[in-house]
Amino acid sequence: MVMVGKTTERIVATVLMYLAVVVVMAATLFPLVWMFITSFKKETDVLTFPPTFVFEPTFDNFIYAFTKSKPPLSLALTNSLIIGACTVALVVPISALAAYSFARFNVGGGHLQFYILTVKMFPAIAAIIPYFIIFRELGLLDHVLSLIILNTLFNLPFAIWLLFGFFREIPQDLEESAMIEGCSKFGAFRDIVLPLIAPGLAVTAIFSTIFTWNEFLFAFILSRARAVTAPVAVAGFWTQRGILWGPLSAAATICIVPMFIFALLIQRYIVRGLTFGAVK
Amino acid sequence: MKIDKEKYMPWIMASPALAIVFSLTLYPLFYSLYVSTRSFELTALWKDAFIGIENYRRALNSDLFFWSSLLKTILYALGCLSLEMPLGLGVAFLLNRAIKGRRVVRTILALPMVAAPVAVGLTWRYMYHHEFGVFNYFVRLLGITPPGWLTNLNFAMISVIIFDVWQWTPFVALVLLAGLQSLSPEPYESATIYGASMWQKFRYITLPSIRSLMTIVALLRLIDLLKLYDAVYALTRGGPGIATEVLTWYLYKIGFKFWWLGYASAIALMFQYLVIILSVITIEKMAKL
Amino acid sequence: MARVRLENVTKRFGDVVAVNNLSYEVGDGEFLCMLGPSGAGKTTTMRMIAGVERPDEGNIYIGDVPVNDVPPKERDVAMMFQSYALYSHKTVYKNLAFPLEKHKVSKDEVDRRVKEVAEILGISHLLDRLPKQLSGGEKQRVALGRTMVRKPEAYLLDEPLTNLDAKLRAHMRAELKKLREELKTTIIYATPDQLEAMSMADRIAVMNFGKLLQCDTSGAIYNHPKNLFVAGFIGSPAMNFIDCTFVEKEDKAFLDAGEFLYDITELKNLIKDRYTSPELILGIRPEHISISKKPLTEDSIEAEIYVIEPSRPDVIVSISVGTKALEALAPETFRGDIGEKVWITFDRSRVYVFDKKTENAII
Repeated sequence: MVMVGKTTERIVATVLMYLAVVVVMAATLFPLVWMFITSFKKETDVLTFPPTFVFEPTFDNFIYAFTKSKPPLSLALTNSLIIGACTVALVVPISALAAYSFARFNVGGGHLQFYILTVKMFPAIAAIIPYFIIFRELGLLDHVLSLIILNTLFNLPFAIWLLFGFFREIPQDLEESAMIEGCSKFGAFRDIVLPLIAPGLAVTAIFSTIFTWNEFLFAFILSRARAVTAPVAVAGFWTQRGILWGPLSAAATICIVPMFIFALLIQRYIVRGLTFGAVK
Repeated sequence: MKIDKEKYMPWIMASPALAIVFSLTLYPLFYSLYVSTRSFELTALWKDAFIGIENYRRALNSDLFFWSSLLKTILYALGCLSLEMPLGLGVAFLLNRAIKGRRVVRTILALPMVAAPVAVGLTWRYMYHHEFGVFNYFVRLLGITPPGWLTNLNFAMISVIIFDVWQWTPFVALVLLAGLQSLSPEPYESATIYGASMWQKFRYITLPSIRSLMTIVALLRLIDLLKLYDAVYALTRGGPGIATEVLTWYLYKIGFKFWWLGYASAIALMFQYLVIILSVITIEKMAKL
Repeated sequence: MARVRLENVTKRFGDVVAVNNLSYEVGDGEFLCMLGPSGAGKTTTMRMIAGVERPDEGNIYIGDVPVNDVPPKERDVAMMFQSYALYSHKTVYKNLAFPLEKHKVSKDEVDRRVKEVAEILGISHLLDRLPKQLSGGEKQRVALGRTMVRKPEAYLLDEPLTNLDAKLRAHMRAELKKLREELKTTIIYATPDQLEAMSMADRIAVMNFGKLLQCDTSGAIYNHPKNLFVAGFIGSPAMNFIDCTFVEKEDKAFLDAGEFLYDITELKNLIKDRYTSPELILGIRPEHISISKKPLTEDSIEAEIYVIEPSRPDVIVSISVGTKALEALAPETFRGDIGEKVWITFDRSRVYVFDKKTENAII
């Protein structure tokens, strides 16, 4: 029998390759899956060795997380929603206007943009010290408003850069034509450009939502009991008595899963988003 | 007035953003500078006095903890980078060949990044648990005695690094994948005709093309690694002892546990400017792309 | 309907001077064509008239009103972009309606005008479609329609036919001409195609590198080009240019082209008065060169056939005189072989002389 060596080689290589992909996917998913199933385990299944892979699922952890947690998970989730919604509502329009002015009119000749981008690069822990002192003076500690302000501030640079890239992709003829036909600069922006850039706005909104929702450090330091957010509440399961793994997993699941849905929506734009629009 | 509005419209459009950014960054910056020159402690307000650059001098000259935390930060960053870059590149290559299910793959790879680090970090803490953790289960199956992932002085840092590698290698992979996919196939085709091996193609065609992209990714990661906080909080809280006390953690400790806010401000400012310098370099490289 | 006037308009982009001291005037109801190759500054000029670019120097007047500082929406011009600039998220109807809506026209009036324009351009059946569903020719007509909807003081058309295929282009050329007859408005038209310019415009402004080279009727430009570039750009196949030197021998004067001498004694003084140096260029259009098997006059020059291109209805014959190559137009009945010796004769009344240095025409 004639061995067509090359073909078998190729088949083996292909199989190995797909196998490797599967391994990578599995490694990526494993911790998340583990967290997910742990949240459905009874305490006895959680605190055992060897760890259980087959078990009887229960909602106990979720119930505990919502009823007995301190700070209350429901409050945290509500706060996260409020802060997220307000931040996005502020960030998207403000960044769209600013990004447009940079993209089309080169306001500030690039220097302003530069300064704004460096803001994003501030290490949170370093930046927060003056804010802590100032908000304390203003009595805004443990208040949702202070978190909205800070999140807006730190999401703006990213949003502006992302939208800047989107705006630059639109050819200028359309706006010029609109202006000749009777639009003001703002009118052209509103009537012609914004509809064309709707996907970009959506992507920006989603990214801002993800960043704000996951934001831990500011929320942790600036809140005590009333302005806690979801990540802070999850961390709250690490109590003095020890870590309550079951409810913690449940809370973590609730905290993380919504973001997965968003990830699915923006997976096409992730690279672009996280490299500030530099890589498409 | 109507004409004026039209002419200044660009500035009017940028003004909300500029107002927010400038008012919220400049004032705190100057305030921070001011506080850093004082011996300000929140729990000992009577100590507040002007001391000039004393805080800075103390940090740079006599604070061993500061330097050790800086060292740990650098070690941590280098450790992560040295793993994330090659792994990311490898995964990118892998995915570049395997075309099917790209959407699914991209979504899955995106998941670690969109999960709140604190939340996932605590899950990893559970997995690292010496008794109930699933990692030890597998390791013991292989017949090896598991290390104290988070309790061993030497291993703790490695465990944190592993976590970061898990969370951010996908990012590196996705960015490099995008870069690889933008390369044209022609140089490869002619190289194949000339009989070049896989390794040769990689070294002489691929690497040079994505070099600038790799630099940018490395810089972006570096900046994020320097700012690491959430993972340390979730996994080790700086421990055991100060084995994983990176600069951000040290800053947190002296600022919000000891409440030495004056001293902390000084360190914070120095840190901030280090990061900004790196950022400037990164931005310039990104602009050139 | 008003005039458009440009006075010494200059526009720079960095180091590049896109428009250089341009001045011309377009009369009421006149069709002026800006003709020139890519980069000549036609589009930039148009954009300055529309108000989307500001001139660095000079003034622009629309209807005798200086408009340098007036924003585009208040200038009452309509511009058709080379790329059509159709609003991709709006239907054809909404695209056409847009300019009217922006000028606060009543809904009924908008409807009436849109339908009217659509009728004229033959796109009434497309009113509900989106731009991406249209063919190239259809998009072009929608873009044109959008300019017509408002009846402005002046129309600016930037290379409207360039993106169409040859057949459609010829068709649209005829349509535009007809449209122009009906509308009787002031039109400024930009194109690199001299055929379009020659067939449609009242006057042509020939431009290159941002400078206006000549602004005249098509006849004047064809017959009396002021400049080497204009002469070479207009007319297809292009004018022949031969380097030569002005020499005087006894009473006679010749243009010495190396391989031959051309007697121009009767123009001797005229040339001497006007040239800056004896270095000159002789120009003659292919259609003004006769080819024959025997010398026709004493000016006939001996030449050799290089290539014959049957280009109906004529035949383009490339001939060589020593090292110089010329093109001549011969009637369809011409027969010849490559390498065959023939005689060419220039139509004396159509010989042009250009100063080599200044590139200006002397005759």
